[in-house]
Amino acid sequence: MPTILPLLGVPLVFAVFTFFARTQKAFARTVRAAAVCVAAASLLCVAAHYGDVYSADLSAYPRIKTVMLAIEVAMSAYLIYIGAARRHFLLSLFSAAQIGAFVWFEAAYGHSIRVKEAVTVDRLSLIMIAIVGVIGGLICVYAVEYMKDFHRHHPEYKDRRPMFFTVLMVFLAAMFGLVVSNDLSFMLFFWEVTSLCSFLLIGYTRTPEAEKNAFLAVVINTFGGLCFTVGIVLLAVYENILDLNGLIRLNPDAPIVVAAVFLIACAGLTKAAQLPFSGWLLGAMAAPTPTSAMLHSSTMVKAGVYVIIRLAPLLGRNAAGVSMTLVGGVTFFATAVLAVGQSDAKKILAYSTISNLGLIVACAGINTAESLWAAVMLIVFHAIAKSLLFLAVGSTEYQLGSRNVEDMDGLFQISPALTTFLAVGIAGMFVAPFGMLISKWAAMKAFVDSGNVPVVLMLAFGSSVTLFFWTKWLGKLIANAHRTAPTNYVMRGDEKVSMYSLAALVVVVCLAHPLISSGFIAPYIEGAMLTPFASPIASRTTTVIILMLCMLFIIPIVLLPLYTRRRVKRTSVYMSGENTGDNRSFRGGMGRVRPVELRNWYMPSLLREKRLLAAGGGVCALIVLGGFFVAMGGAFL
Amino acid sequence: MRALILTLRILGILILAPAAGGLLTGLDRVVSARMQRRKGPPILQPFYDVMKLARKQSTTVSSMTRYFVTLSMCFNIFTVLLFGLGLDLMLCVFAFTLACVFFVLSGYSSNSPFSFVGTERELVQIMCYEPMVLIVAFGYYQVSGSFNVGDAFRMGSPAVMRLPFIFIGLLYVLSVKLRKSPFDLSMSHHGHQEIVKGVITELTGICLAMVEVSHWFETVFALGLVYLFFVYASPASWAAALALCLAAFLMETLIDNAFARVKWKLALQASWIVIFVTGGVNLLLLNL
Repeated sequence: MPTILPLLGVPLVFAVFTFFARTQKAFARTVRAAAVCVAAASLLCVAAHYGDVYSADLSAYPRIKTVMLAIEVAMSAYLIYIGAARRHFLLSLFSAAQIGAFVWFEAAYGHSIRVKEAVTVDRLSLIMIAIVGVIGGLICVYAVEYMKDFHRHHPEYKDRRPMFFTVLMVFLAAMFGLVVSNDLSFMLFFWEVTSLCSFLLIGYTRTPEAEKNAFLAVVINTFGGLCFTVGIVLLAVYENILDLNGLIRLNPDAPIVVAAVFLIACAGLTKAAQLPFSGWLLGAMAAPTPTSAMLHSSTMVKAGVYVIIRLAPLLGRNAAGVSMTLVGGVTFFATAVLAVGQSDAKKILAYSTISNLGLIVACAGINTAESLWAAVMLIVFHAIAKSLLFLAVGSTEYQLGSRNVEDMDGLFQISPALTTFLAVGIAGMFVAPFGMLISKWAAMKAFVDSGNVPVVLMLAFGSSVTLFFWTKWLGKLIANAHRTAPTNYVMRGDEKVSMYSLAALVVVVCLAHPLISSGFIAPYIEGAMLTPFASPIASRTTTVIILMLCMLFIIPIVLLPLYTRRRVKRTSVYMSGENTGDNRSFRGGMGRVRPVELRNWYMPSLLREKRLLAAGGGVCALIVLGGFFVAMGGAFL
Repeated sequence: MRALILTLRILGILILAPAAGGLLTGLDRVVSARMQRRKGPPILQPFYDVMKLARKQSTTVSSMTRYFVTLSMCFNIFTVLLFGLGLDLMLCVFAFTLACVFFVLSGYSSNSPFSFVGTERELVQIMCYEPMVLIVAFGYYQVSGSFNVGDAFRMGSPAVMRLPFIFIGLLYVLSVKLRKSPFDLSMSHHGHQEIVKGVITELTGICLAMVEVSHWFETVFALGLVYLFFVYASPASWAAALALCLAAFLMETLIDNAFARVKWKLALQASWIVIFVTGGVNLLLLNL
């Protein structure tokens, strides 16, 4: 316990400090200290529990449950009230149903079921703790200067930074709580806390758009919470089980287990923003950048896939597993296609997040050792690369006054550092030899092994689409045809620290992935599946991957002196002889001088966002509904 | 001793692969010329071209283009090396993709309108053939039991027996990858197809030579994929497969000369439909 308590305690203590901070200096100091302490606490926990699976029995402290129940009732009361006040009655309805079911259950059954180990920390928890602590901490550090600039750029918004940082801290604490919970009612409590936190963070600016998106997020996530609660109640009432470790040892073909697992996994789908439920994550990008970075990389959506991965031993060939696999596969493909049509950098990132989460969900859905390995690796690499990308886009938006990819022409001349961060992040997302691709490869192998042809096809097509939209963004960073006038923004120390650290992590974690695999993921899979496990990436392959990484660094370094010494003649580009002297303009019709503008392809005639979203969402909704009827029918008919 | 053998093998690949690629390109030009009732250049012309280009004075429009072209060539060579050493096929595909990405980036870095249009089309072409290349790897993995290229020589029967549809799909996208008409959208080998040469519009001298050499390696890798479909434990198949690769290449030449260029949308839709049907049907049959 002495290593677990600080995980919740440290962020909560700093939450109080930031709540009372008023000056920029005070924010900077407390948040920096908080980030360092949280990261230290998480790494300490990883170091302390690396050797064993730690469990704690909390049944001697019944008050903990009472306090949690009280807080949960209070949160629900707030949501019911605000839903009724702002005429979002669906929110009130879901929230009331959820808390009603939960209170009834606690009163009727809660005390009859004894959970031996309320807290369990295994290797998967450790990975999550490290991600939340380190990446979450770095995002908080970034937020210090960013939020100051945010209010300088937008004087129309009320400065509510104390609330903002407090909620960030509570968010981190709730994430830690979620990943160490073995008692499902604990997990549900933290689950609800993250939903509420995301509501407060997304609605930060209190503009009508922000409010709309915040309510969308909380409605969808409360619906997920409702599913989670009903799933728990089913398990407790019929199977007399309330802990995760007990749950995954149940028979995966028992109808009632399938029904309960399906419901909890559906809650995971809402939080992981899978297709019929992805509206909220797209809306969430309207929030300030640190919020998006937090929701997209280390917290929130990762809580969704974390729960589904935890349930993986009960998925596979049953109704719950098949529907998760298909929803994940369709989401992976559909949102990758959707990303092609976007030029708003944050929107590309949002769609790509949903797409990658789809892959993780599909991996958990088929439930093989290799697919689980891929799923956990994807979580790790995605968290690092995506947070870097979000932070870099946030700074780029200040630097250029726009976050449109088409305006990033010539960013290299304006800010080489930002361009490098973006390029490293993008490369980390899709190209060999970086992490995402290694994990995607393992995922592909797992799907081919399982013989799931539809998903294999979606993977093949989806990957090539992914390649398309990332490469054209990368190209824009390198191109320099027209230049957007930079603003007078200067990157601050805090922002630099967090982005340099994340960029370094992208490379280092890629090099260290065999260690993560053998040290954390393999033991976790052996524990969950009860079979010996070896990494799907052979050691010879790892050598080649590292060789490629070296080539990427060494070739340019070798070429640089070679090419700078051998000067070549510079000429202007070919413009059918209508050049005006520089490469930025040409003589157009009637001899008028016009600027050169080179725009990427977005294929608007093929890709209509609304229609595609409706189609993908419709397909996924049908799959979920089908899964629901089969699972419930099996259990209750 | 093992290190020596490895070095010799690498050297062998580094000499044989470009030689084969160059000869194939030369053959392509001669056969094309005969189809058009011309005499055509000598078969060694591609080598003369490259040597001449390398000696010419280079000009450039952007300082970065050379780096990307060089990186692209290096990774193309690396791909063929991995393939030739019998390593993991997926790694080859990924290295190959990386080479393509660098080539595309070289187009972006030139800031030239014509080059840019070619680059976007090249990206679409990558999107056309990439799913098929992945499916070829998946199919190969299913029939041989491993992704290792070297294991093809230990199979009991040629892969094409169990992957006939995937093989058809591969033949289809081969013309996209080798930029043969009707899919030579991003840049064409033929003067009559376009006046301004797509991605490589702004490249001169040594850069152009590197693109040419890259193309040799690309051709060798693409035909290497064809080779995998025919080779199995019997040594006779090793030579027969080579002959069949040559036949596949000549078929591409014929198609190249028989079709007019299509629009990008048709190219994309057509290849995806072909891949979906051939790949899907074949994978389903394998998993029945």
